[in-house]
Amino acid sequence: MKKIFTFSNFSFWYPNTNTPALKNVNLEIKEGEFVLIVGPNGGGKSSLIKSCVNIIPGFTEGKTKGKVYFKNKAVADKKLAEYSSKIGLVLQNPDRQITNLTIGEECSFGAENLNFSRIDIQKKVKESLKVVNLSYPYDRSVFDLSGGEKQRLVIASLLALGSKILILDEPTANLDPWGVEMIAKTLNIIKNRTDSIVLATHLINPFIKLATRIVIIADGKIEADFPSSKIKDYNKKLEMYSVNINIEDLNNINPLTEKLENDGFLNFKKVEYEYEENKKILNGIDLILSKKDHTVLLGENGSGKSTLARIAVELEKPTSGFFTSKALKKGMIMQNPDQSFIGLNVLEEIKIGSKLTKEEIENWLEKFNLMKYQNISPFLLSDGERRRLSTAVALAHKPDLLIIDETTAGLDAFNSNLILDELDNFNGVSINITHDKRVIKRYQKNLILLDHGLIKYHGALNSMNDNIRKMSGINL
Amino acid sequence: MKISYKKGDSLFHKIDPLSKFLWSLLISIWLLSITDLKTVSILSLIITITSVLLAKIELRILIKALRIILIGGLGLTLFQAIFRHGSGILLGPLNISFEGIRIGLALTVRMIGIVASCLAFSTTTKPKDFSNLLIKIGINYKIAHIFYLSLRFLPVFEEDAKNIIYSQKLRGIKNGTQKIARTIITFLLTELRHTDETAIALEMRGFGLQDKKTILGDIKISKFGMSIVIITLLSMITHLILRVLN
Repeated sequence: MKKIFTFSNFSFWYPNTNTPALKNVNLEIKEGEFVLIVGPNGGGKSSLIKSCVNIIPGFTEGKTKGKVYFKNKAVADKKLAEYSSKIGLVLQNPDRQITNLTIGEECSFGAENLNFSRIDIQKKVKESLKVVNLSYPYDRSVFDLSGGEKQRLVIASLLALGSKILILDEPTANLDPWGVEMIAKTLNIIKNRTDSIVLATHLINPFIKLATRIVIIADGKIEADFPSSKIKDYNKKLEMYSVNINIEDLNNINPLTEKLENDGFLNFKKVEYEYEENKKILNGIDLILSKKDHTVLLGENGSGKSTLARIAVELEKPTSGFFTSKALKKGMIMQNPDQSFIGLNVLEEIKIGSKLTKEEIENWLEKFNLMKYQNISPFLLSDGERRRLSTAVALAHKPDLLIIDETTAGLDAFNSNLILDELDNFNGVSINITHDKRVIKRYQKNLILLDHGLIKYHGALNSMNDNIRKMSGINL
Repeated sequence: MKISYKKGDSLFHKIDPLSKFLWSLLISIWLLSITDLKTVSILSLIITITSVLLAKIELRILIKALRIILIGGLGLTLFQAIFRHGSGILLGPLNISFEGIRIGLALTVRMIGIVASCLAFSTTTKPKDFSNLLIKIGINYKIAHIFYLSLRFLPVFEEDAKNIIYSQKLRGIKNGTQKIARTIITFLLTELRHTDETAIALEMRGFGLQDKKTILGDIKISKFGMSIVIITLLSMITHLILRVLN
C-alpha cells in the first residue's frame, strides 16, 4: 500500500509556548486506511490533522521540528490551496466553512475556483450531492439546513473537487445524534470512493465499524496505534485518555418510581413563537416545571429547544400564549462559551456582575481547575477550559434558573465529568439542552422531547417507548 | 434576511444585475445632487412608486424600512432645526430654524428614495449572479466574492451578536458605554477566533489559486436593462443642466 501521510519525528510548538503541541510524532497513514485519531481535548488531534495540509505551520505560526510528507513530498513545500484538489478537509463548525448562500453554489464553488469545465462541474455536483444524500433543490438556502446537513454539504463540495483523501477534524462535535448517524452513513458510502480517510473524533462508537485503525494521541504524543479490530484490548487505555467509549447502555436503566412534582415554577400555556411571518418554531407548548426540576430538552436541531429555553429565561417573549416564571435570577451556559466572555482575565470573568469575595472566586476557580489561569484572557484558554470557565461563571452567580446549552458537546470524559459533577450540586431549576447520553442518563427523570415545536414526550427515560427513544436520538 | 433576494416574476427580476446596480447608483447620485425639497420629494416619490411596482417589493418590508428612516429622519430634522442658524420661530430659549427643517426633511425624503431603489436591487438580484457579472466585466473574482461573502456571514454575525447581548443581559450588565464596549470586544474576539476556519475553508476549495475561475450560468448584460440605465442617466443630466441654466 502506498504511503499517503508520513510524520517523521515531527514536533510543533504554538507561539509563546514551551510545551510542544505535537511531540516527536512518527506515523504513517497508507492508502485504503480509515484512521480514527482519538484522545483528550487539547491532546493534539487537531494539530495532527492540521499538519497534514500545511495549516501547521503554513497558516498557524509556530516552531516545527521534523517533517510531514504527503505522498513522499514535504507538506510544507506547498501552499494550503495547492492541496485542494487532492485532500478534502472538514472542520468542526459547518457554519464557518460554508461560504456560499445556496446548496448548488456551495457544492460547485471549489470546482469553479479550479477552473473545471462547466459540464464537469455540473456532473460532479450532481454526483456528490447524491453520494451524501442531499436531495434538496440546488437553490435551497444553506440557512435552511440542519448542522448535519451542512456538514454533508461540506463533504459533497470536497468530493466535487475530486478529493480522494478526506481528513475530518471533529466534524460531529456540534451535531445531534441524527446528524452524527448521517455523517457515519455518508463516510461509509464514500470510504470506497476515496483513497484514505482520517477522522479526528471524541466519539468512537459511530465510526468503529468503518475504521481500520485507531491512533490515540495525548499530550502531543502517539500513545497507541492499533487495528480497530483489537479495540477491546485497548479499552482501558482509551478510558485512561478520556475517550468516550463503552457508555453504559441506556436501555438498561432501572425503572423509576419517583413522580414529577408540578408546583409551577415555570408555566408555559399554549406558547407559540413565530420568528418570521408564518414561520413558527414553537407551535403551542403546554408545560409546567417545578422548583426541583432538572429537565433535559431533547429533539433534532431546529425543533424549538433553544427558543423554548430563551423564553424560559425571558430573553424572548412568546408571540402568542402565556408564560409565567417565579425565577428571580437567571443564568445561561452558552454552547459557544466565547459569546459569554466579557472579562479581561479569568478572575475578572467570574467577578463581573457578582458580589463574590476574592475567596469565593478562588474557590470556584479551584473547583473548576482554573486557578493557574486566573490572570490570562478567557479567549486564550483551550476549548475544555473555556467550557469549564463559562460553567463556573454561571454557577458562581447563584441563579435559581439555569439554561445549559450543549455544554459537554465535543468534550472528553475529564472535562465533561468535572462540569457535570458541579452541575449536579446546583440547587435551582435547570433546563439542559443536549444530545449527550451522559447528561441524559444523569437527568433521566425528567426528559422532554420537542418535535416541530411541539412536546412529543414528557417523562422519565424508562417510560419511553421505542418510537420515542428513536425520535429522541437515544437509540442512535 | 428580509432585504435579500426573493424569487419572483417582476420586471426587475428579468433585468440583469449590473443594469440594476447602475440604475440604483445613478438614482442615489441624482438624489444626492439636488437640495431643493420640492424636487427631491417628487423624484423620491416617483422612484419609490417605480421600485414598489416594478420590483414588487413587499409592502411590509418597505414599511419596516420607512419606519427606520422616518425615526432617524425625525431626529435629524430636529437636530438641524435646533442647531442651524437662520430665520425661524422662537420656542423658549430655542430658535427653530426653517432652513434646518427644510434640510432635515430633504435628507429624510432623499433617504427614502435611495433605500427604495436599493431594495429594488437587493430583493430581485441573486447575489451570485451579481458577483459573477462583476467577474465577467473584468473585476477580480477575489474582490467580487468579498461582497458575496458578506451576505453569507451577515446572519451568522447577527446571531452571534444576539447571543452576546443575551449573555450580558442575564449577567446583569447594565446599559451604558461600558456594555457597548464589552459587547464589541467580545464580538470581535469571537469572530476573530473563527476567521481562520473560514480562510482555511476557502483555501481548501482552491480559492485564489488560479487567476481565473469558471462561471456557471449565462449572465449577460441585457439591452433592456442598459436602456433603462441610459434613460435614467440622460434624464439626470438633462435635469441637472436645466437646474444650472435656471
